[in-house]
This record gives sequence, structure tokens and C-alpha cells, in this order.
Amino acid sequence: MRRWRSYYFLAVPVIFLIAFFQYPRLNEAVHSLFSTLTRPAFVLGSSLRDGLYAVRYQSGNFLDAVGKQKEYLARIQELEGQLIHFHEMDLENQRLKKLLNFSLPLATHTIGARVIEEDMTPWKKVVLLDKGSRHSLKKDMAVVVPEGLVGRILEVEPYTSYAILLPDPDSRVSALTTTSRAQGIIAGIGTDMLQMKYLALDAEVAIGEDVITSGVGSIFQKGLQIGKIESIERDSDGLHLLALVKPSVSFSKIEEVLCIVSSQQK
Amino acid sequence: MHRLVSAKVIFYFFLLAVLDGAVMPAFRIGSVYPSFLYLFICYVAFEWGAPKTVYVAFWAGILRDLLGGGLIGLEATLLAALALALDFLVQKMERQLSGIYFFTTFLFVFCAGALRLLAGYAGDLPPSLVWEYLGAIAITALYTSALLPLFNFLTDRWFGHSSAKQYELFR
Repeated sequence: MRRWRSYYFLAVPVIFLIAFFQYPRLNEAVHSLFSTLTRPAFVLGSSLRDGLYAVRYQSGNFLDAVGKQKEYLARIQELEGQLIHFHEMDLENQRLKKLLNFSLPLATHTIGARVIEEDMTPWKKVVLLDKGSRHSLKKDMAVVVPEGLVGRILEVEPYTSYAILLPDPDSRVSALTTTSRAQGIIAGIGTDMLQMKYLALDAEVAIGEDVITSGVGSIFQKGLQIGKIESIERDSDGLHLLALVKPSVSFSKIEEVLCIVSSQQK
Repeated sequence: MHRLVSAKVIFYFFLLAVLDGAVMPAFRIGSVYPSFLYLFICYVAFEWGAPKTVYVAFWAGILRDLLGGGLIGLEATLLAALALALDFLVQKMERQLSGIYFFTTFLFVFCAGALRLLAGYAGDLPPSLVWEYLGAIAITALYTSALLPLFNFLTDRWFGHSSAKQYELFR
């Protein structure tokens, strides 16, 4: 009898599944409630994770840096000299741009957020951020780190939000190669690499070329770094080229991100 | 035998969910990291017995659905169905065989991952990617099942069980 009871119990998750499939708003509301209630615990857990990351990744770097201390000091001096030189060049550049009536973009307004939870499926790349609509985050905001584009905001709850990362199989970004100016779509495949699809057959794309956001569509501003082209081949239908792109961001080590609120022009 | 609706079990569930969602990524190998919620289902099947596995699998599935941000009930259904198969396997298996717990856990985690892949992307993926994902699932299963002895030890301690087993000589 008890055994049969567990067979009958199988109907419960099926009912849950049908109910939440039928009513997506209920699904969202339960997610929102859960993430809001459990946020403090996940923030605490992510602090522990950051500590573990620090031990794992930075202990090796520290030992390496101690060994190369003299080399680094010499390099710092050299770079400081270059920095002064570049600062002068930057000032000159600004003066010349003013003369040419160029409009320099203002520094974009961003909101910093911490990754407090990650999807446990190996191929899904959706993370939970510790900021939400109460912190002015909105759906479809671009998410970046200093190395480049990370993804976009997928769902916003009051105190948390889900961000979909570029390697997720459901992620799509309109992109552009920097030298050949070939346009395509960056698609995630659930691994450490990205695909650049729908490149024209006559596009003169080269291996090692940088890929940036094209600014087509309203989600991502133009010029955000995505990665470098690793290989190019014809796609399966033979109508386009398909490039494999190595992302500039290491997606397994993301702890903090910036969400772009606006990219106002002067 | 432990009561499922107790503060100790509920807190343990929640702790495992936080560990899975927020802490375990620090132990990532490549793109995979282990899941304690899967291990808890296997632990319940091995130690607490048949009727409780399905209930634990259901709640573990609900927690994984909530953590993943997707459709609630999907993983709960898959895990509850798999838990029935796991119960059946545990009842039939020869417990004295070396490595049987490891193998059963591996099989359970692998099947759970493969079914999740099938439910999420049935027919949408090219075969090369399917093989790649199955490889990642197999590594996840291997990694997760390798932690079974440690998890059993900690869970035994948490619930105050003795690790020494008694076997009946007569029925």
C-alpha cells in the first residue's frame, strides 16, 4: 500500500508542472518570492564562495607574483612612463576631436551587482544577481565586466534579478568584427566558446579578429568587447560562414558585474 | 528512521540548496560542479528506504527548479519519477558488492541530467552538442558520486545515525 502511495504521489509534481506551465505569472511570482526570501542566505553563501575562489585562484597567482617581484617592479616603472605619455596623447586627442566636432560619449551609468547563485545545469548559464528593480535594474539591461560583455538581464525581481550569460544556448547578440566589419549573430552553445552565425560567405573575416557588439537592436550599445575569432568554417546549410569565438570574459570566474543603465551622448 | 517533516530535515534541505546554488561553483572543474541535492536523494534511498525517496526527490526537484529560474515542477517531476526507479534498483541490488553505491549514484545523477537535457532541448540541438553535454553530465555524475562517502558521513552525523549497519539473520 505504501509503495502504491509513492506511485500516486508522482501526480503531485505533474500537477505542479501543468499549473506553472499554464500560469507563467504564478511561476514568476513564486520565483520572485523565493529569491527575495532566500536572498540573505545566498548572499552569505556567495561570500563563502568568493573566499574559496580567492584561495583557489589567487594563492597560485600570489606565489607566482612573489617569484617575479623584480620583473614586475621594472614593468611598473616602464608602464608608468608610458601612462604619462598616453595621458598627453589623450589630451591631444580630445582637443583634436573637439576641433572635428566629434561627440564623445559620456561615461555610461552603471550599477554594480554580485553574482549570488548560478544555475546548476552544466550547459545553462543563468545567474542570480543581488540587485533588482528596487536598485533600478530593468529587463534587457546589458551586463558587463571590464573584459567585455557578459550578457543581459533576463528577469527582474524586487531585490534580485536573473541574468543570462553569453554562453547560454538561448542567448543571442548582434555582433560585428572590428577589422572586416562583418555582421553576424553571437550565439551561446553552453560551452566555453561562442558561435558567430550568419556571416556572409564573402566576408573577409580573419582568425584572431576582435568581435564587438554591433549596436543593432536596442539592447546592447555598439562597441562592447565580446571575444576573438578562433576558427571559421561554412555552416551546415552552406549559405553562411560560421565562426567560433573565444570570449574575452572568463565566465566561470564572474563574481561581480556592472549593469549598464544608460549610455547617454554628449 | 527519520521524520521528513522536521526542522532538522527542512534546514538540511535549505542548507544543501544554498551550497548547491552559491558555494559549489567554487569547486568547479571545467564547467561542472557536484550537486548535494542529488546526493541527498541517493542517501535517502540507501539509508531511509523506499517510501521517503520520492518525497525527498520531489522537494529537491522543486528547490532545483526554484534555483534555476525555470519552469517550476519540471525537475521535480523528473526526479520524483527517477526516485521510483532508484527505489526499485536499491531494493533489488546486492548491497555487499563493492562500488554498488557509487555506481547507483552515478547512474541516478547521469539519468537526471540526461532527462533534464531532453526535457529542455528535445530535438533542438545538433548531435555534436548533445554528445558534448552528455559528456559534461557524465563528469558531473562522476564528480557528484565521488563525494558520496563524505556526504554520507556528514549526513549521518547531522541526523545522528550510526554508520555501523546491522543485518538480520532471520526473518
